Amino acid sequence: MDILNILKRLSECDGVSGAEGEISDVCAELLKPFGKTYKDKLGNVICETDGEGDAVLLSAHMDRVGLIVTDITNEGFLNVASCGGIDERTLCAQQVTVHASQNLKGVIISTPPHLQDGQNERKALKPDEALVDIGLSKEKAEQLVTRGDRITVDSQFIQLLSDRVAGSAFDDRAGITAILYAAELLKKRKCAKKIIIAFATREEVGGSGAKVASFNSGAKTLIAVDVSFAVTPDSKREECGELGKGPMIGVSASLDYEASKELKAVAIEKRIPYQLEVMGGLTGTDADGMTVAAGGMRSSLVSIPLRYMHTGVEVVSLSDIENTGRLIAEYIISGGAE
Amino acid sequence: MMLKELCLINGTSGREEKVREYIISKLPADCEYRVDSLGNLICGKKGKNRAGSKVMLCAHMDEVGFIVTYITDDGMLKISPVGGIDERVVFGRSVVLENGKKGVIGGKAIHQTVGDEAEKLPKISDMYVDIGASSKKEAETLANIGESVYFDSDYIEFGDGFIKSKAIDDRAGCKILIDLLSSRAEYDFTACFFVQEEIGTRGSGPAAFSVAPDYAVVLESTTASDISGVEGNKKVCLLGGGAVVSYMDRGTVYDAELYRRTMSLAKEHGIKVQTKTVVAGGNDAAAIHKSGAGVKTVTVSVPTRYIHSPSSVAKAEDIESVKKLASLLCGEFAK
Repeated sequence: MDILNILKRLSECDGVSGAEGEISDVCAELLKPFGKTYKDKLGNVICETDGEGDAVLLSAHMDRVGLIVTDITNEGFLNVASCGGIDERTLCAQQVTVHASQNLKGVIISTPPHLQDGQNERKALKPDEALVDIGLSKEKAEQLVTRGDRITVDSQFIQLLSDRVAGSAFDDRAGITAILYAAELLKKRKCAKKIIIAFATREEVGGSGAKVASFNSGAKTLIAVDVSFAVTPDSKREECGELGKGPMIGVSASLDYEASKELKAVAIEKRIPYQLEVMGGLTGTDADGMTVAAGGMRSSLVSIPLRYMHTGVEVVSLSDIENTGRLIAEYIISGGAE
Repeated sequence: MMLKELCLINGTSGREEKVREYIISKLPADCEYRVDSLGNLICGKKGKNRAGSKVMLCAHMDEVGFIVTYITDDGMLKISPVGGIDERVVFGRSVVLENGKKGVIGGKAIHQTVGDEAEKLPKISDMYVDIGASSKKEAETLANIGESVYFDSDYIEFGDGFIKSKAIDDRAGCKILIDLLSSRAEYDFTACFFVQEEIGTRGSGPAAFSVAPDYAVVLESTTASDISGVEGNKKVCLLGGGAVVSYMDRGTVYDAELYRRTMSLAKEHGIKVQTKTVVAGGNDAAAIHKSGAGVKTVTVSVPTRYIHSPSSVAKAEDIESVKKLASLLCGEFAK
């Protein structure tokens, strides 16, 4: 599988939480070769393979952080709110796309120096102060834009040095890419186990998509794939993984401890680089809600290290995506998800 | 399209060479030019008639950007701004290196911030450019200390006649000057494309000294804040309001009579014109008006929102108004 181009294609789709139409169509197309593929009531894309026995559920989320239109000012600027936890520090003077009745280009305002007092120096623009300038009068704006329309920050997919890439929505489309790669490996290896893949909606606004997908799956075992913090010069080393050092196997009070150990053992045996991500309580991912959605699940979480989360310049290493896919496939083949 | 091409050329203060080369390539055959010791491009345009007074039309070639000051052991580029740049338009952006390769500027995730870090931007001196390197040695394959770094921004048209790009300040002025040099002129005039405006109007003084004009018309881009929530005079000037003529800014107190004459000439000729409602900003007029034996100086600007950011916004019709007024003033002052 061409990991770079799949990630690029996925990251260039819109799909702010609750408006995952475009990304879910692309996901459905990519999942189709692996089994019966459909969308459920919350828009989750589900794929069931033909395997046997109790199903193992693989999940990642499709939605991305963005903004949502709340009103139009008399001068034709758009009032917005955050939809998912977008990094407010990045809003000023950003080029954006408003996903209205047609896609409109715009710029988030930036207050010039003469209007800043000393106290506001270096102060992030809060979403409720951020206006989007679409260069239209109120009358024209109202013909095209509706409250609730989603807005994404425009960004490019950039190949950095070695196998690192920058772009947006790698959270969690890097996870989707890893699961697609795992599915391909499992198919090639003729894995007989039944796999259900759920690409979920609305993770960034609370995880309602994944909860429903989990309930519907009837599975007893979950491997959730998300992204987690890769260390940067200004972050605490002990709170982060490292780029390029392999999947981060979650160890947490809310995850199955035995499964964490088994994942680690498989990584060692198959010589797959890995790191441990240890959390005291909940994981802050879809795994939290999915584990307790129906009658309870034996859950694991594998995360791909990522820098600059929830900005338009998220950075991942492609080898981490590949190794995450390999680890999941090897774990299932080894019978770990029984 | 010339404005787009000009805006997308990278050239911060002291590194205007590519902009200058482009402009030279667009000069008409009958235009004599020279490049002075600082890198200013000085062009002579022959009109139908010899000028009674010597007029210099001018714009600056440089844009705000960054310079690489250090490369850390873990392969990150440290940068310093070249010109005035607000932290808030830097964080979370991609940037372009001299060789065209790209990097990104970020920091710890918003989830990991403590105290007021989530609401307050780091200083530019605390930011870094991530080019994907894991070591200093690897980083040095793409970037060196002293090289320039630029906003990674495309040029788009949106809404009703709006333009969004980096470097509209002052490639819009450069574009107007090239157009005027390429058109028929009533009188002879000199056109100057300056270096180093953004770091304190360094290039224009020496150029004005050697040209020694009687009149100067500075073509600029100036801050507009005509956005919702900003009331009255704080809007400064309006997009769509026409050419902006200055009576006073932080660098220059303009000749009152010349200001009034400029405004009435514009109105007589049906050119949309406005002024700034706040004393703010400054430009090459500051250095020009007091150079040599003194120069009668007017500034005519394109109103620009979000200036000095990767997403500056201007309106095509205002650029047209500035061009018309510059052409008119050139003829009137030269008589």
